[in-house]
Amino acid sequence: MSLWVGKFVGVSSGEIDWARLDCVHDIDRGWKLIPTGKAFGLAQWHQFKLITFSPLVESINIAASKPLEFTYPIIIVRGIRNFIVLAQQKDIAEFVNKNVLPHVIARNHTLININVDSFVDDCLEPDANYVVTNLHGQYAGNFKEIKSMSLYGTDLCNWRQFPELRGLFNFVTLGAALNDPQAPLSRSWEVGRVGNDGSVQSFLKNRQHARDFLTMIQFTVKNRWVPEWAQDGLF
Amino acid sequence: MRINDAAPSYLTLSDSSEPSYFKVALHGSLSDAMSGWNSSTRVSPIWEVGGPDNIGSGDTNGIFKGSTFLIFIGPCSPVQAFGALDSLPVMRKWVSVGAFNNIALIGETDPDLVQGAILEWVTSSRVPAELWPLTDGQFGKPLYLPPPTGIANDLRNDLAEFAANEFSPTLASSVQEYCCLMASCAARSAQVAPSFLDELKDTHESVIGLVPKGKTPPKNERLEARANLTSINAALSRFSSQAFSGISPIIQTECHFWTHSLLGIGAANIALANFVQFVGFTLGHARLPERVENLRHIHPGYNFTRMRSDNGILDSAPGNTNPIAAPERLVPLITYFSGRDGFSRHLQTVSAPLFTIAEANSFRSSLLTITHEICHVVTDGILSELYPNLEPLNDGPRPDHYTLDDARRILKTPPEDAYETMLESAQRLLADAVISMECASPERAENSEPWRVFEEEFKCDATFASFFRRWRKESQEIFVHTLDYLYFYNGNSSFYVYSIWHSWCSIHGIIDRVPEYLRRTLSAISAHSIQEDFDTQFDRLVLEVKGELERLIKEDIEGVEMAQEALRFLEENASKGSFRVEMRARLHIVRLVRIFLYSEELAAEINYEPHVSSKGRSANKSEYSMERLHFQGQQFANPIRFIRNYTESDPSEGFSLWVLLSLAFEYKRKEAS
Repeated sequence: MSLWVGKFVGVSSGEIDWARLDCVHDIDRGWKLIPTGKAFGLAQWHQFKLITFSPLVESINIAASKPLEFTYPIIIVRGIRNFIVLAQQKDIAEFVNKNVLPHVIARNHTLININVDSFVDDCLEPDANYVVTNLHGQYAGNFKEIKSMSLYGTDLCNWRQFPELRGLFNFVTLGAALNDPQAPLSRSWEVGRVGNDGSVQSFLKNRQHARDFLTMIQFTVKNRWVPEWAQDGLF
Repeated sequence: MRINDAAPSYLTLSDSSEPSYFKVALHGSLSDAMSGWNSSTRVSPIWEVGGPDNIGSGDTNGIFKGSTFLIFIGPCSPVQAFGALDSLPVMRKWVSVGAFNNIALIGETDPDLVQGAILEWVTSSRVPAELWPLTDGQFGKPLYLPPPTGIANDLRNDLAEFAANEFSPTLASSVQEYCCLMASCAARSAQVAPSFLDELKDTHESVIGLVPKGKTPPKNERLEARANLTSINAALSRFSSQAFSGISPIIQTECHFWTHSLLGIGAANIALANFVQFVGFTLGHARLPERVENLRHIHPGYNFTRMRSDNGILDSAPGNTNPIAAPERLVPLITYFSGRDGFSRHLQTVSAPLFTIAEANSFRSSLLTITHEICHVVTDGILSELYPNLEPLNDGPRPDHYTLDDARRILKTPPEDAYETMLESAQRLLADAVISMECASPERAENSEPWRVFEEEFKCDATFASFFRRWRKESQEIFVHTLDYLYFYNGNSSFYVYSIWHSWCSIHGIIDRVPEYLRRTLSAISAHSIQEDFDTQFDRLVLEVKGELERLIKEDIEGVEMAQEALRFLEENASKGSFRVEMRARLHIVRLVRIFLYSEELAAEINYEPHVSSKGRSANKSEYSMERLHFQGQQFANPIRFIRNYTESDPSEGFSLWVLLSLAFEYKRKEAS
């Protein structure tokens, strides 16, 4: 399974103790975090085993075997003042963000909101770096008959009906693929998804996927689609 | 970083017994602060902030003992300000509602070290700072770190040029006062809050257009100009004294809102200005009055039957996409807080009550009420096109003037005949509403044949005009409430009814206006379902209103008697034919709004928020991921939506401060493209 979901977080002030990423954290809080090397062989991608003594997610197997420990793979991608926390389920990433990170590297970290709307604006340009493959939005008008909408495709911004719908929805998550006219097949592969609440997601099968995903996150920071305090926190 | 929203501490400044020295103290309560009060004492409440595990003890004992620095930074976000102090030994941190909204106590004695640590940040961020080097709570000379600033040369030169003109004696003293006030606002804005400068320049441009020059301009222009200038001067005076008190040098800039006499309420003024700017930008740029004026160029208009019954033309907003020829630049509204005026508006000014500063988080004092006032500003312009001109015209009739004779002609047009223009169609709906309201009024119910009486009065100018005069105010209020409900309350009936009745209940002495307020409420919330059969719709609307009144009664809010009276009135009158006829008459106005003034695209634009959480509603029951009372540097783009999400029943000073500081510094202003 190669779907990784998580959070894009950072610190606006204070220190990040990066050296602690290489240590085992065995705090009496019901979890252990053990480093297990570099994910995809990439220097910034720190991989861990998170061991908890109660399950973070539901699983049929738990009832059958009733183990004493539950193990989950975690990746932390380290930046300057920003970092990405990834797990294979949302609840696990949420647990790490809330309960583990403050005791490991940063007490005062905050979610980095990505301005999905600005990303969409950029993808409207013909020479955009990315094409939009997925959008989820909430209806912004008054009609109560519709609440939200999800769109999937190979290049949503180029869809004829898009301008009409654009003004009626607040888009909250976006999936994007590389805009590479010379390799049209690559359009079917979504580099990743980002949300305006700092959520991130990607299918990471190999080193190239991981690099492309990080590049996309970098792209949002370079274009200042993140809060001011996070704008100098490149990877 | 989180506010400790228990009671604030009170920072006081007084002259010391030692000449040229000042004494600073922090008190746990206002009562403590009173005990040492002398003629030079000034005070401001401040709230401690801290990290997730330590939100500050609030302890004030011996806090300024020894040698320390008290640093004031602002106006800016607490995340920014306290981030700049990372390299210093910060002992305690507070936030306030003044322009210097961030305060820190530094356990460092070397002034060069302290200055050096923050000078670079102050210079690059262009945010002023002031340092008080304390020894056992006393200091002699503060240190100022103003960033390099513009001096508003353009505006200063324009004012000098304006002041050099000759003005009639009627206007001279008002103009002089205006020039001094505006010069002061401009100079202080440049130093403290440059975001105000552009708006001040626009205001000055509009004043130049309002005030006739020369010794003998036409008499009618002089009095009107003086009245307008008086209002503008009053607003500027209050704006200046509120927003720019408590700036450097703090020892010299006292605020006359005495609870905040030390640091002023500058951050609250920025919050208010930001909120009004958003409303003005969105609804203002929709140019509704100009669009109504443009209806005279759209031929043919709808006929009356179609307007009454064809639901396909609802939200059609004819001419909505037509460009407006040479639109005038929108003039920003001057904003200020006022104990006496409360929520009110005049030609170019908008005010909010002073108690909003301590209660901005509550329904009864929410800044959301200002949308009603701004809708009035827009409606004034709309009604100038849709309401017949009832005053004698000094310069004689003009072809585009809508007269009583025009109103008669429009009302007499057979219902199946299309009007020549859409403007006439809109005028018909409003005229019909006025006549229907007149016929439905309880006074007329006593006549045995009210319609026949009306026919005779129709021909008499004085009587006919009196109908329009009599119903002008209520027509305007129904327009305003309907626009407000559709555009700023997102058509959310439950939230709308609850919040406006909550705020009405908090106003003393208006219980006799319950029937009028109920008619307005029911009219507004009918906008969403105006296409339905009246009786079905009306019964459902009454139930909705009753439900929210019962909720207010159950919560036993202050002023609950008003909600109780409203409930009693509905229970006694909602099923009565006379009340239903009155309501039916008013729905013509609601239908007019839906046909000519409402568009879903504009509603979506006003409700637009790119920072709303993808979860929809997060665990803290808000659409945003930001946690109440926390400063996390998370921005938002829609202050109306933000306030809707963070309003609750009970006022809280700490939560109110968080709302105001978020509106001031986390809201990302929409700029004209």
